[in-house]
Amino acid sequence: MSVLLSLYPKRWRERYGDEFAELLAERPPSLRDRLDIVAGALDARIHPQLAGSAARPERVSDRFGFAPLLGLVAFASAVVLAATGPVMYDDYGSYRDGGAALPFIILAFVLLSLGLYRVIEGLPRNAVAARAAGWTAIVAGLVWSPMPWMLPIAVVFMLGTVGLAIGARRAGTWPTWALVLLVVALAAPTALFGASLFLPWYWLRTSGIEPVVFFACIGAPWPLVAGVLLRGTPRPMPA
Amino acid sequence: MSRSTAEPAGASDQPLGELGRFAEPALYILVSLSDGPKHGYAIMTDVEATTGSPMRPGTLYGALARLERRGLIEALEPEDRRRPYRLTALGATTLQVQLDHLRAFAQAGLARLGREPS
Repeated sequence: MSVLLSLYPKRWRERYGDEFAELLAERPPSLRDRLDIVAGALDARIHPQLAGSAARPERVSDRFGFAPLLGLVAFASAVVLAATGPVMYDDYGSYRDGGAALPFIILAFVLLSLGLYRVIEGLPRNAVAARAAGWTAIVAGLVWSPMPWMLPIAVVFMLGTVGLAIGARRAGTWPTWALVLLVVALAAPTALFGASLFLPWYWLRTSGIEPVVFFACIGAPWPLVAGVLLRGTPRPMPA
Repeated sequence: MSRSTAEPAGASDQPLGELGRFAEPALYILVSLSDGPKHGYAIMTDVEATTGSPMRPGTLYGALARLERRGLIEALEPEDRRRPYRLTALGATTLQVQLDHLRAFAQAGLARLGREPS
């Protein structure tokens, strides 16, 4: 046995040697097994897999992750423009006219939709709920972007995004830390906007709460989707 | 079903076909681990019982190393000198995708033969 094992590279033996020897002890190798082991040792030398706990699976990023990254710039620009727009007055008090931000926020959602679509594509076929949540987020986001005062649509967008992230987490393509960050960032605006379903439409304006802070929280999906796509998941190396 | 590196980094981007001659053994191993962790000898006997063909030691460990390298399986703490392996979430998703592909392929083949899949 030791002769067969010695054919393998040292690093391979350090990682698999004990269990491989145990396997051969449990099932003494036939002549064909021995030939297979020789071929395996040759393969381990020609195509080392860097096996071992220290080895990290190679990751290949998805360049489409740059789309939500650019979208983040557009979204941040929209928030700044909306926060610095001219002060307007009406029967309910004053507000900032964020009309100049509209093109940027629409662009931000279009770019985010590309990223969300790539996440959906990475889901297995049977992840029906997560796919539905992802498409809901895309449609709601695109519908909401030209009319950001329609807060109920924002709630649908945020819940859809979280649903997609949960499905992707189950599929192993969305890391836990990114899911936690997404939920934490969207919890407050979701609750706030959810409350708007039952309160007068101008409630947020008269609440004393700074809307910019909550709109900024909604920006969480952009860097997270970009990060997940650009980080990638373990991909095969050419054998 | 090859994809470029620009494709999304998802489970459907883990074609076992890229494992070359280890693709088929790798699929057998994933199926074997789908009902719980197993060590090398248990995988060999399970695959042999399932497929009717023996999986030889060199092939087994060549495939195990590739699957572990790609994050599709992970090693657990050794029990004596035997180390069990289990599917990762990515491995389970990849297996599901592979089996879906095989089912679609089988259905297409049966349809061409004029035999509707049962």
